[in-house]
Amino acid sequence: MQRRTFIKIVGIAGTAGLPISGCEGAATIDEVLRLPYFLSGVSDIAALQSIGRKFGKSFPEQYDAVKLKDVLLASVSEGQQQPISDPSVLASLLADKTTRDFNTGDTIVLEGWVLSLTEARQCALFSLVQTQ
Amino acid sequence: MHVDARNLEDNSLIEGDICIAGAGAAGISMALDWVNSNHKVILLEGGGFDYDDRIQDLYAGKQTGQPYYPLKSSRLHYFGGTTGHWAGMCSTFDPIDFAKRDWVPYSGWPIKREDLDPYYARAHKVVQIGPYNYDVSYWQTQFPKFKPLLKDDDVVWNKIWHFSPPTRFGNVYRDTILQAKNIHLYTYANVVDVRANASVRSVDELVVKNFAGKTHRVRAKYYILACNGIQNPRLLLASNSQAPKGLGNDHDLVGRFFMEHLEVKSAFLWLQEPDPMDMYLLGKSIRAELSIREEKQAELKILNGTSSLFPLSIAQKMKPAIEVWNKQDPRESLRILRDYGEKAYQKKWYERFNRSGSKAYELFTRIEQAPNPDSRVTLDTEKDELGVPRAKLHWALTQLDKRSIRILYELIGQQVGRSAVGRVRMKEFLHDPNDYNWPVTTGGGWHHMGTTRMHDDPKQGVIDRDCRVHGLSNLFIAGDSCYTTGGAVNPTLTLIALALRLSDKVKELVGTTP
Repeated sequence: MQRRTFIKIVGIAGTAGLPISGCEGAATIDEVLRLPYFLSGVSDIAALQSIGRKFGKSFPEQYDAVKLKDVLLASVSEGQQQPISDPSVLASLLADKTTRDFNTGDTIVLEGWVLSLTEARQCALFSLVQTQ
Repeated sequence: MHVDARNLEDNSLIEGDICIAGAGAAGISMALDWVNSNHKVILLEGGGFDYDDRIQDLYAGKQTGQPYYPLKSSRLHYFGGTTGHWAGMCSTFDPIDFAKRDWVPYSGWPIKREDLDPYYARAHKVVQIGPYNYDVSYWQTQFPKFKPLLKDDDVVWNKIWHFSPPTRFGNVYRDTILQAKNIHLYTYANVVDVRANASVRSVDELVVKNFAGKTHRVRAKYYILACNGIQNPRLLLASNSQAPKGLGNDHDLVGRFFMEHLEVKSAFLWLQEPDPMDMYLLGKSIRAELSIREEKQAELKILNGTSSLFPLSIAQKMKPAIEVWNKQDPRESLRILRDYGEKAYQKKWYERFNRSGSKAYELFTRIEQAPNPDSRVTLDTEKDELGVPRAKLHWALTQLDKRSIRILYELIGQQVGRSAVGRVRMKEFLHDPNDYNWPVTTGGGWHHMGTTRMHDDPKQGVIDRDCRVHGLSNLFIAGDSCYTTGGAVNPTLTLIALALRLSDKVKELVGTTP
C-alpha cells in the first residue's frame, strides 16, 4: 500500500479516509455500490483496484459494470417493496449482506484478502469505474 | 552426587539400576522423579555445567533440503541441555494430534491425549508454570482485560499458552540433582556406542568418552536415551557393530520422519478499530493463539496449527528466525535473541502500545508438518572428534504443509469477517493456491521431533507405546524424537509429560525386576 494511506491505517489516530465521498449523506447510489464500506476502512484505493482487477481476471464473464450493479442490487433487494433509492439504506443493506456472506461461507480470496463475495464485486465495480 | 568422568580411571565401569543418557529437559525431569528413591540412577551428560565450544562442536552436522538452522547451534550440549536457550512457551497437544487422521499420512499415536493428562499436570510444576488449566473462561476471570477477537469459537478457537520463566534446568535443578544421594551425575560422559547382547535383544552397556581420552562403560538394568531429536537417532544409527543398519532400525525407520514446526510470518490483520489485544500478546504469563477446531481440520483435511498476533509496528522490526538464528555458535544466536527482546519489548514501546492498541497486526503461523519419511536424520561419513559419525539432516516438506497454512488463514479471515472486526490479508507466498514453494522466511522452532517415532507396529515405529525400542527389552527413548506427529505447539511440555510417564513405567519394571 502507498505509505501515505498506509500510515493512515496503521497510525494510532484517524480512519482510512479514502479521498472519495463517503457513503453517508452526499453519496450516490452508484458510489455506495462501488465502495465496500468495511473494506475501505482497512485498506486503500490501490488495494480496492487490485482486488477488483483480480476479480475480473478470475470471473471475466461478471466483469462488467452494468452486470455487477445488477447483481449487487439484486442481492440486497429481496423483500424490498420498491427499488432502493436511498443511498444510506443501500449502504446498510450491503453491509448486512457482507456480514451474511461471511456467515454463509460466500467468501473469496483475492490478492490474499479474505473477502465477502459482495465486497469483492464492489471492488470489481470500483476498479471498472475508477479506470473510466 | 557428581562425578567428572574426565577424572575417572580409564575404562572405568559405572553401574546402576537405571541409566539416563542426556541431562536436558527429558533426562533431568526423569532424574528428578527418582530423587530419594531406593534405586541408583546414573545420569550421563556429555558436556559440563557451562558452554564449551569444543564439546558443542560434537553436534555440528550438515543439512540439505529445506534451509534449516545450523545443527551445531540449534541444541545445547551441557547440563540442562537446550533449556539453556528455550523460550518457555508451553501448551498441550490437542486430542486430534494423537488420532489417526486419514488425510495425514503416518498419523496416529498408540496413546491418547487422556493418557498424558496426569503427566501434563506434573510437567507444569517442572517448568514452573501455573495451574494445569487451559480453559479460556478461567483465564478471563484472572485477566479481566482478556477479550476474544472473534464473536464465537465454533471454527477458530483460542488456544491458551503458559509461559515458563523460562526454567533453565541447568541452573534450577543443578543443586537438587547434585545433592540427591541416589542420582549419580557423570559430566563429560558422551555416549558414543550402545552395545547390545549377542542376540541383540537387550542392551548390555553404553560406552562413553571425553576429550581427556578416557573411555568408560556404563551398565544398568534399563537404559533411557534422552539426547534430543537429532542425537537419539544418531546414536542408534552409529551403534551398528552388531546391527549393521543401527540398533532398533530393522525397518529403516530410525532417523526418518524428522518434523519441525513450520514457523513463518503469514498474514496481516487489519482492524476497524484499534485494540490492544491483551489476550493475544506476549508479556504476560498466559496468552492465547488462534487455532482451528478439530471438526474443521477434518472437514478441510488440514494439519493442526496456530496463529499468533504481533503488533505490526513491532513485527516489522523483527527479522524471521531463519535469518537470525543462522550462527554456528549458539551464544551468538542467544545474544541476538536477547537483543531483539530488549528492542522489541522496550518499556517505552510497550507502554505506548498498551495505551492505545493498534489496528494492524502481523499473523505468525506455527503449524505441524505432515510426517514425511524423506525428512530424516542420517549419518555423515565425517566423524566428530570422539569418532562418532556426524548427523546429517535432510529437511523435507509436503504440499499438505503449505495448503494447510493457506486454509488456516482463509478460516481466520472468514471468522474475522463474520465478527465484523476487520479483514485478513495473507502474505504473497500464500496468494496462489497452486504454488507450493516456500518463502525464504520459512523457519522452525528448533523443534526436532519424530526421529524415533512411536507406534505399536515395529514396521511403523521405532518405539512402542511405552517408549521402549522395538526388539530391545531394556532400551527406552525419551524426548520429542518419540513423537508420531508434531502437534501445533512447542514440544517441551509434552516431552516432559512423556518422560514422566516413561519414568512411571520404568519404576514399575524396576520394582518387578529381581
